[in-house]
Amino acid sequence: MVKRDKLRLVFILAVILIAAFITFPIQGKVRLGLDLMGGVHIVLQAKGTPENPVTSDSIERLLAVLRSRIDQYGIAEPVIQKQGEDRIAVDLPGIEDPEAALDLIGRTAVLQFRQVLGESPRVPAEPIRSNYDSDEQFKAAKDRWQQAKNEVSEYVRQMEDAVKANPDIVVGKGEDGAAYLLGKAYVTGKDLTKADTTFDQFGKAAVSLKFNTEGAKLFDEATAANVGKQIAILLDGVVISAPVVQQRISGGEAQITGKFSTPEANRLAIMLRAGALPVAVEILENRSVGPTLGADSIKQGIRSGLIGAALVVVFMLIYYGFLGIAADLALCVAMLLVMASLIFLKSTLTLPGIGGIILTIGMAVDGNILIYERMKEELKSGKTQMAALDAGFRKALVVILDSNITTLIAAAVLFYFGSGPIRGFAVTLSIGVISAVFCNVIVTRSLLSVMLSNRKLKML
Amino acid sequence: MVAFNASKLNLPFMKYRFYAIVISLVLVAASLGLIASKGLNLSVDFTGGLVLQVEFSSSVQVADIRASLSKIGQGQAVIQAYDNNEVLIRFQAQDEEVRREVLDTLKKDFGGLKILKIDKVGPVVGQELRSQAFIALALALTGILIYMAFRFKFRFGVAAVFSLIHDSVIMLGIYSLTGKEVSVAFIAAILTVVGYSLNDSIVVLDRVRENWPSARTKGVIELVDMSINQTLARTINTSVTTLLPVLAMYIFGGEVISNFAFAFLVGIIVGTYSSVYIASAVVAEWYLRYPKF
Repeated sequence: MVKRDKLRLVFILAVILIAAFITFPIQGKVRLGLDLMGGVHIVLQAKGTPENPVTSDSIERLLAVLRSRIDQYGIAEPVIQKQGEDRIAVDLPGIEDPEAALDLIGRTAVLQFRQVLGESPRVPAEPIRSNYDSDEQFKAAKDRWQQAKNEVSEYVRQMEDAVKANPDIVVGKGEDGAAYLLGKAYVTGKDLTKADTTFDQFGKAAVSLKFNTEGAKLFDEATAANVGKQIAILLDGVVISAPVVQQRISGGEAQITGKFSTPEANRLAIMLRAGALPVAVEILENRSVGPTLGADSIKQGIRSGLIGAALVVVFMLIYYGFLGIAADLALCVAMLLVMASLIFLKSTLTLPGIGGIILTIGMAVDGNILIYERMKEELKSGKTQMAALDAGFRKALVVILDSNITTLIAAAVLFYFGSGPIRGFAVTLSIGVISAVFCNVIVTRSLLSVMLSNRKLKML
Repeated sequence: MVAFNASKLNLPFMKYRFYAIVISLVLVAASLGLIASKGLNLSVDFTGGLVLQVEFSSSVQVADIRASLSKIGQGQAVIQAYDNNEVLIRFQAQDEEVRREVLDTLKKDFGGLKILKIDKVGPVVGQELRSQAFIALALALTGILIYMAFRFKFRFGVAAVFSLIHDSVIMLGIYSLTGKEVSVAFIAAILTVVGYSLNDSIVVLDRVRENWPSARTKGVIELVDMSINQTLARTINTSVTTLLPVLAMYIFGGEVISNFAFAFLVGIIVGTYSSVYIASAVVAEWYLRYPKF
């Protein structure tokens, strides 16, 4: 073996090891698209009215409302993002009931100021093992936490009993984890005209509110009746803040002060505005897939991929014999590289993406075929095996690059224009093509060099 | 080994180039005719609309579903049953009330029902997706033309793009003929096939380029024939190895993947033929009529 070949082999082994290390165990590592894991993809269009036109602030408000609703719903890893000027795309993975999610998202925001009759203690944060020295300490902390949680639940149950007795009161959950027993509603969002972040003379952030005449009157009554007590502010039924009333406020202008950081104050102001000037939305696009369909798709995709790969492997073995083994090994490496790249780049695997991978199984051996056919020609023109190998690789390389670059051009266009699933296809196709070229040019070549250095082997 | 020896093969492809060109022209004309008269079965991606895929807890008849939907004025929906309890229903209308009404009615009339899939596309988005698809196709073709012009002689590039347009039109024609759904995924498939089937054209044209020094002595026709024969084994083998997994996808891939694979299946077959015949015939004919060496 020549020194260059040795170096190349070492390099390949290193690549394979790294790829294997990234890939295995594969369970749960590949990020699945909504079409495979089930979920809801919705594109919302904000609809403005003459009094309430769509501005960047209204989109900001809409985003805040959507985030808060989706957080309350408890969806893991939702994606909520602005799209263009006046659209919002929402991805909710793993939703069992798309109908419920749609109702949640399509609603218009409701803001209320309500009397607070009672407040449960907060559930403390769940202990994390890494914060404790021993398992016993951790277990004790966990028990304490469970007990606290049970106490809160008991408290909430009592509140719910109280609600049953009196239809005018409700239980509202707070964003902070506490539950509130809420009395009558004083003012609603339609009477709130302004909510902004302001700073007092010490530079501390606060939120200032302004009501219209009707609202000022109602707020005056509310504060008069609750001096020293709390008034809860609810957005879509969730308590976003429950400030204590310091004094009666008659002018229609109030300030919420407290231990706010500026971002917290901004967020509260945005939520208040969201309820004051709710933005209606229209669902432009909705693509929902139930979890069973996605699981079926994965199963069928894997099955057809394996069958396809087996057919290709057998074909190469029958047609090229000894050379086919090298091609098949290179194919395995290419597939390993595809999976490793998918995981490493955190790309999302979609259903068309699976199609892209299966397609690249076929395309991956194309390079080998080009090289082998060229080698046969070179061998016939009287070259030795090694010389034919060299010439075959050199001459086929140009064609391999040419043909794969055109596929990459198509993939790039798809990536740029496609959305969701199609993008996934463009990604796997590109990754597949690049891995295939790497394997054709480098892996196959080293394998053949090693194999041919044993002179007894005849490649044709 | 069941290999046939490529270099000994000497099939006179170019002798039949006129037949090939006539057949291709007829196919392209027929495809364009079909697209114009019968049209394409555009999916909701492009038309806007609502597709519901639902699974009933017991087996149901399409007629019963239609009767149930007629009560709320949605009797004209396209209803398609597959498997035992699974049904695909396609509506032109796509507002939220329709969806809610339809699902409520179906739940009431047939009891247990599970939503497998909802695809709703508003008319605005449909319009956007349509224009995006056109732009994408145009951009990809332009990009490839530029690359080809850069890498090959101008005439070779034109010949390759010619065969690509040929492939795309025939693919669309076959989709029109079979009434298969043209969705965003189909556009992706077309673009991929365009990129892929170029591989074969490139292999053939690259060999023509390599043999070009002997063009004066041998003549263009013989040179092109020689090049096609020399590369025939790899043209066929690369197509076969790509067709095998695509075939597996088509047969075993399930609904969505299978549709996707059909486009590749058609595209690869047409693409292989066109890279052997169309691209090289265009080159041969061009140089015969307007020699320039």
